[in-house]
Amino acid sequence: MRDPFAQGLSRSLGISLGAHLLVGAVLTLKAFLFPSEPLRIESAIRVDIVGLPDKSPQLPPAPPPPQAEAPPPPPPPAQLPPRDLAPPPPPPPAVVVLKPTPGPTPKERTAKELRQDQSAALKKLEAIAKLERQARADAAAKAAAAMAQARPVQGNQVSRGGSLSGLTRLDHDTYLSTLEQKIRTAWRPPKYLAKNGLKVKVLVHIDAQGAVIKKAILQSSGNSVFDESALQAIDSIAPFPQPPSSLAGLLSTSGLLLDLEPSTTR
Amino acid sequence: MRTLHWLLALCLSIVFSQASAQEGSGAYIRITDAKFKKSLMALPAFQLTGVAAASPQHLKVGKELYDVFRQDMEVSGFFEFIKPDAFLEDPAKVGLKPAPQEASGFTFPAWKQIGTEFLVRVGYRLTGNEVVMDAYLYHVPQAKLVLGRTYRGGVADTRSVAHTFANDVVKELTGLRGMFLSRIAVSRTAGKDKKEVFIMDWDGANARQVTTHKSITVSPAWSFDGKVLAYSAYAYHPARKTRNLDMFTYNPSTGQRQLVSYRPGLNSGASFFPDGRNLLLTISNAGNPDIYRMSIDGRKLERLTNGPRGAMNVEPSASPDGSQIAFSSDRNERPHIFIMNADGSNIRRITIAGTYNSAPRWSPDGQRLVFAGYDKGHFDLFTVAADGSDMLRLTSARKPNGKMADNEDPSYSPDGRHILFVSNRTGKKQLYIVSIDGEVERRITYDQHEYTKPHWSPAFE
Repeated sequence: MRDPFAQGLSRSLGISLGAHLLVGAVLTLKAFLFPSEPLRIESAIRVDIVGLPDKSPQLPPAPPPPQAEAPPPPPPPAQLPPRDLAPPPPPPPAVVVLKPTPGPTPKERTAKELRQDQSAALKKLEAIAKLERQARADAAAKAAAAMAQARPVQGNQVSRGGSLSGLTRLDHDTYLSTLEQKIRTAWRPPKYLAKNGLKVKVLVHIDAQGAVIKKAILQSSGNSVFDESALQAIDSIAPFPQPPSSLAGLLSTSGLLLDLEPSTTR
Repeated sequence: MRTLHWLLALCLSIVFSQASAQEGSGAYIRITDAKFKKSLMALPAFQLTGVAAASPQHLKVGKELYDVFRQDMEVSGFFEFIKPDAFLEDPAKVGLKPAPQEASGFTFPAWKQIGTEFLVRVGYRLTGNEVVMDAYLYHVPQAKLVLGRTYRGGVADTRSVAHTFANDVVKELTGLRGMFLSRIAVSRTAGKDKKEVFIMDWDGANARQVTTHKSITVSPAWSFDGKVLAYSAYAYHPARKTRNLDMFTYNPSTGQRQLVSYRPGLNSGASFFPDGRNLLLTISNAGNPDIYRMSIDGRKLERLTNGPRGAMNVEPSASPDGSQIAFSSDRNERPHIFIMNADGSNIRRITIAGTYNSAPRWSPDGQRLVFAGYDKGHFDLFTVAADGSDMLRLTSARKPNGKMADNEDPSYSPDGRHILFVSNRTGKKQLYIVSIDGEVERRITYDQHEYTKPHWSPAFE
C-alpha cells in the first residue's frame, strides 16, 4: 500500500526523468543534425591592433603587397562589367513554433501516445532541418575553401573589433581594412572645406572582380565640391581589389557604405 | 500535456537559435580623417584697363595689388599656384569673363585642362586719385563664377583694396572672416635706448609710430573690438624723481590718450576683457606682482591673485568668452602657466613640463593656449589644449652662430590659423608668423630694429 505522498513523489520523479531524457535526446539529435563549426586547433593567429610588426623569425613571411595580386583587367568599355552575382544564401527558414495541439481532456495520456507526439514533432523538425543543413553545407564548403588561403595577420594592420567568428570573418575584416587604407590615401578634399564639419555618405556596388558597378551619394554634405571629391576618390581607386567570396554577394547587392566625416583638426 | 508541448517548443527554439545565427554584418567603412589638399589657383597678372599705354604709376599700382593679393592667398594656406608658363591661354589676350558671355573672353576648358580649380581674373584702372579693381573668382571644374566684385580706394590705400578682395575670397569659400585687414601693435626700438609702440598691417607694411614717450614703451594690447590700445611706458614721476612703469590707453582713430594706472611699481601686461569695459593688468604696488581687474578708465580696481608666499602672478590673458584668465606664476618655484576663473577662483595649473613657461595667450576659439617655454637654453613656442593636454611645439630655429634661437612673445591671428612671434634667429629680434600646425613659417619684418611683445589685432573689415 503506497501512501499518496510516495505515489506523488514517484510520479514527479518519472516526469522529471522523462523530461531530462527528452532534453538529452533533443540535444544529441541537434548535435547530429546541426553540427556546430568544427574547432580548429592550430597555432595562434596574431592580430596586432596597434604597433609595428615584430622581428620574430617564427612568424610566416609577410603577405605579398596588394599589387602582386593583379585583378583581371576590366572589360573594354563597350561592354558592361559582368554581372557575376554570387547566388544569395538561402534565407533561413522561419522559426517554427509549434502551437500546442488542442489539449484533450486533461486525462492521463499513455506512454505510447507520448512517444507518438514526440516522433511527430521530431519528424517535422527533421524535415525543416534538412533544408537548413543544405545551406550550411554550402556555407561550410565555401568557408573551407577560404580557410585554405587564410593568412595570419601580422602587425601594422588595424584589425576591427567585434565578434571574430572564424577565419571568414578575418578575411572580411582584412578586405575592408585594405579598402579603408586605399580610400584614406585616395580621398583628397580641398583644404578650404576642412573646418566646415562636412560629412558625406556614399554607396558603392562592387562586382565579384572588384569593378565598380554603381556609385551614388546616399547623403550629401550640402557642398557639391565636397561630394564630388568623394566620388573622385572612388574613381581613382577603381577597380577595387577582388573581394573574398564570402563578401562578394553582399557587395554587389547591398553595396558598401562609405561614411566620410573628417573631424576638424587643431 | 501542455507542459510537454511547452518543453518541446523550448527545445526547438534552442535548436533553431543555433541554426539561424547569421554571420557577417553590412559592409561599412567609416573614415574620420582626410588628407585635405590645397586647391590649385591660376593667378595671372592683373590687367590694366582704361588706358592705351601703361604709365609707371599704373604698373606700380598693378604690381602692388597683385603682390599683396598673392601673398594673402599664399598665407591663407588654401591655395597652390600654377606657374604662368603652364597657361594654355594668354591671359593678356582674353577677357575677364568667360567666352560665350564676352566676345574674346577666356574659355573654361583651356584652364580645366591644366588642372585649375580656381581662376582669378582682375582688371584695374586709375581714375584720378582712385584705384578701381574689378575682380572675378571662378571655380573651373564647375565652370561657374564664385565671386565678382568691384573694389575702389584711394591710391594710398592700394594694399587695403587687395586685402579686402582676399578677405572676400576666404569668406566666400570657407564662410569664415579673413584676417588680411588685421594689424599688429608692437614695441620697437626707436632711437638710442628707446622703444615706442608701432601699428602696422599684418604683413609688416605701413608701420607708423603711435607713442612718443621717448622712453621704454612696451606690451601693447588691442581691445576685442580693435578700437583701443593699452600699453605701458616708463614715465617720469617728478614728485618721486624717478621713472615708473605706468599704463596708458590710446584710441588710434581719435588720437585720445589716457593715463589709467600709475601706482608705484609695475602697471603692465594689459589684457582686455571681451566686453571692453574692463582690463587685466599686473600691479606690484602691494608687494609682489599680482593680477588685478581694472575698469578701463582706471577708477575701479579689484585684486584677483595674492601670492601665495610672495609668488609673482603676471602676464594675464582674458579668454575670448571672458570667463577664464590664463597667466604665468612662479608659485611652484618655477614659472608655469595657470588658468583661473575671471573672479580669481578655481586656480589650476596647466603646464607641468619645462622650467620657465610664460606669456600665455588664448586662441580665438578659446580651446587652446600658446606660450613660450624655455627648453635646453632657448625659448620656443608651444600650444596646448585648455586642460593641459595635447601639447605641440611650433618652432625650432638656429641662429647664424649655430646656437638655437629664442622664439617668444606669441600672439594668435584673429582667425586662429597663425601665430605671430618674435625670433632672434637672424641676430636681431624680428617678427615672424607660423601656421598653427607648426609647418609653415614666414618672416614679417625685414629691418635692423628690435621688436618685442607684438599683439595681433582683431579682424578689421
